[in-house]
Amino acid sequence: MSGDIPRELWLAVRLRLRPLPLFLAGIASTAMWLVVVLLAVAWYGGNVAYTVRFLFWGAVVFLVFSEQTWGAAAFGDLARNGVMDYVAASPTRLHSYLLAASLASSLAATPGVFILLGIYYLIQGELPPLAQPAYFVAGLAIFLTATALITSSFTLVFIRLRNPSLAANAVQWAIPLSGGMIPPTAMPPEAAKAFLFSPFQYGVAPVVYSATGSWLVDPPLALAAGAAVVAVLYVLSVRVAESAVEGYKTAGKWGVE
Amino acid sequence: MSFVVGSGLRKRFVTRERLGLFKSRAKIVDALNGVDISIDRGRLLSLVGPNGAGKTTLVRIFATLLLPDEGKAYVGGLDVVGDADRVRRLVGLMLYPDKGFFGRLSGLENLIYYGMLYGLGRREAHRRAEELLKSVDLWEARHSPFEEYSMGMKARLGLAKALINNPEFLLLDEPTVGIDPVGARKVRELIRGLKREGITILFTSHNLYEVEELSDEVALIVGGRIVARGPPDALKQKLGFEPVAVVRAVCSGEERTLSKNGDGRALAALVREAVEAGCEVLEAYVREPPLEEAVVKTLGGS
Amino acid sequence: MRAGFYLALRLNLRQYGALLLVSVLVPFFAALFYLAGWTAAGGRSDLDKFLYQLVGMVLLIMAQTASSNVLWHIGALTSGGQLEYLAASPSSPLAVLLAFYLLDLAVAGLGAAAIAAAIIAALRGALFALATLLATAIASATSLPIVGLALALAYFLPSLRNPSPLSMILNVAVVFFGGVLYPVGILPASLQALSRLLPFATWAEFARSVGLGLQAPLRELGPLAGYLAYFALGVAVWGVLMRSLRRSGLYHVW
Repeated sequence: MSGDIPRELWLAVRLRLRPLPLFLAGIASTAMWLVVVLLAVAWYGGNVAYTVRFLFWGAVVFLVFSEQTWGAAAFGDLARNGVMDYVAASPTRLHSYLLAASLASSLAATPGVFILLGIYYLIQGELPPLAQPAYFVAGLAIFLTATALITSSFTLVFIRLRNPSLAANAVQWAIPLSGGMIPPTAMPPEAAKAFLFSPFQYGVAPVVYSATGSWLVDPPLALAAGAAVVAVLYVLSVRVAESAVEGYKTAGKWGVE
Repeated sequence: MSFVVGSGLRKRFVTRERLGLFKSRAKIVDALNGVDISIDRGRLLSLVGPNGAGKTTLVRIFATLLLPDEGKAYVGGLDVVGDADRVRRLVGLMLYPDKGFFGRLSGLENLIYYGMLYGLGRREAHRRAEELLKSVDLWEARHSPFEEYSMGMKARLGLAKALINNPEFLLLDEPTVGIDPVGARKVRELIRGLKREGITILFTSHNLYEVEELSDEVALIVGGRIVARGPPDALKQKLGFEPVAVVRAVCSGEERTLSKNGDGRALAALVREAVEAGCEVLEAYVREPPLEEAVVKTLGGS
Repeated sequence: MRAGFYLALRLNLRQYGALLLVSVLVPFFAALFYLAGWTAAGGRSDLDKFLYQLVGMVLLIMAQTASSNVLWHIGALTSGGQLEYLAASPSSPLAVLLAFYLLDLAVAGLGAAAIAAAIIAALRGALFALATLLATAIASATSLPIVGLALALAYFLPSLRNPSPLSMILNVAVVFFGGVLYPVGILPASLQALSRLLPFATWAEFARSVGLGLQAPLRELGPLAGYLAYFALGVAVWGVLMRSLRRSGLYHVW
């Protein structure tokens, strides 16, 4: 596993930088889309500065998860062009391979996060404050691991679909939204309480809560629940990968290739 | 015990066959029907047979990519099912002549990636990739994106990829299909070189001339069963195709062609007969039936 | 064009199911903006703005069909090698592309419009729902300038080898300058001027006036007709592209 992450990061950087116009267009359009979202929300009468502060960490969460999800959706192409056959024939374990690929995808969101920071700085004249840095680091670790485990499992679902775009779109919104991308703490208490029943809230929202300093439940409790969610997701993702390998070895193919 | 052994291998695929927008039915294909196969260390065995005969299924079982329903398969004494992880370190695999790579990465980068996938460090993978690119004559194109390679170059990169982990057993599934004659010859030369290095090779191809040229042994697989097997010459004999001695001569002012099953001895006898009959011998030779003719006729082709 | 319709229908029949499902995203995103706006505005809600963005999402899907889908269809025909066969046939590749576009528009536009109209019927009444459907039809009929922009950008496809960068830029230009999710009036003056040069905002405003305002701003017909120059430009650039492909022979190597 330790060697898998640098390898997949090495690959992700190369694949994402080429062709360069695609990379640049991606960065430019990401920035413009974010401005569009901010304007569309602020138009409701909210102060732009307040809107930016309240949406910033949710946008970061979404950006990272979106990179992971679309990275996972691209595995269908790898199955079709035979790369996944060679991966399966190599000594690398599918589970750690997919987890490393998901983590590499999340790291590939870094340019987008810098764009977000730049937009925030342009609007607010300062970088976004971190209310509880120690909790933030723990929350970020939980978020990255939990979402990488989720997308590594979804990779094996997407790979079975002829066109995974729709499923990927649904996943990229469903998980962050049910996980507290729009901060539940800013909602009326009745609405916020509903998030207590979403397991994803414990994997995703601690990043937002620790940055803003406003938690839905006691921070240590929320982080412990987050760690438990990660453990469950880990077991699930190992099982999913094992069963996918079994299916592949029986049928001779991953999905629709 | 041979280096590569398969015994009683069976594999059945059950798929859904579409009959329309909403209708489908189960389709059962018995890809392997009890295959016994063995390859000694350093030998090259070719699998030949029609499409769907089970060649690729067998290759994939030895590559640990498919589980046999029945039977056992071993590489270097290791069970391909139970010891799959260790088998993978011994095996080099080329499944396609033109696929399995990242189009946007260069040939060098693709090989470095696969090297790292086999556990090499970045530097070691780089060194090995460069070494292989030189040996497959892709050095000049090492920095070009894979998607710009010609078919022949892609196939050579596929061969280099199969060698990235210094394998003891090489699986080459139709490595020359779709490649121009010059490109295919280059690939064949590389395979011949690998044979000389003592690598054990399982090779599949529809080009029976190259099979005859490269193979120590040939196995004819039909309907998931190996129906004949042996060195190319012996296989032809087994299939009822012997060399034919041919003498072209002028007898009583008329040109005639005399022939007789057999090799040099038969030819000598034929020449003697012609001379004794007062004929003037114009040409005498032994015609070896090409493997292709033997296989095509055995499979029922014209 | 008949062959184009046949091909598009056969090729994309299964995808049209997915395309219809995309229509569900119309109320989803409008509701998401409403929820975020409601939270950001301290619990104040504005139903008119929700409806504005709901119709805007329908227009966005239509605009993306005109921009992104056209570029991706060209990319697919080219990488698959079919463009060569189309160019060698007596029919026009452009007619085939337009057939693809019209079918995509019929499926995606109708699906999105039907969902939006149902919501508007519930909130505002049947008359506004009918007006929304009419607005969608008008927007379809006046969308050619966006197709023209996509055709013009297709000129860069042989060198880029990938429709993604072009469709990304075109899509975000539509949403940023197009007044689909917010009025262009909230942008700085310089950006408003830039927006007037592009065909999106007038196109969206005209359709929205019909759908939500029950009136057709006839004074906008002039500018709408003027923006057809973008379509003429697209057709001309397409012709140049096809001629350059005929010279280079590089139809599908990319």
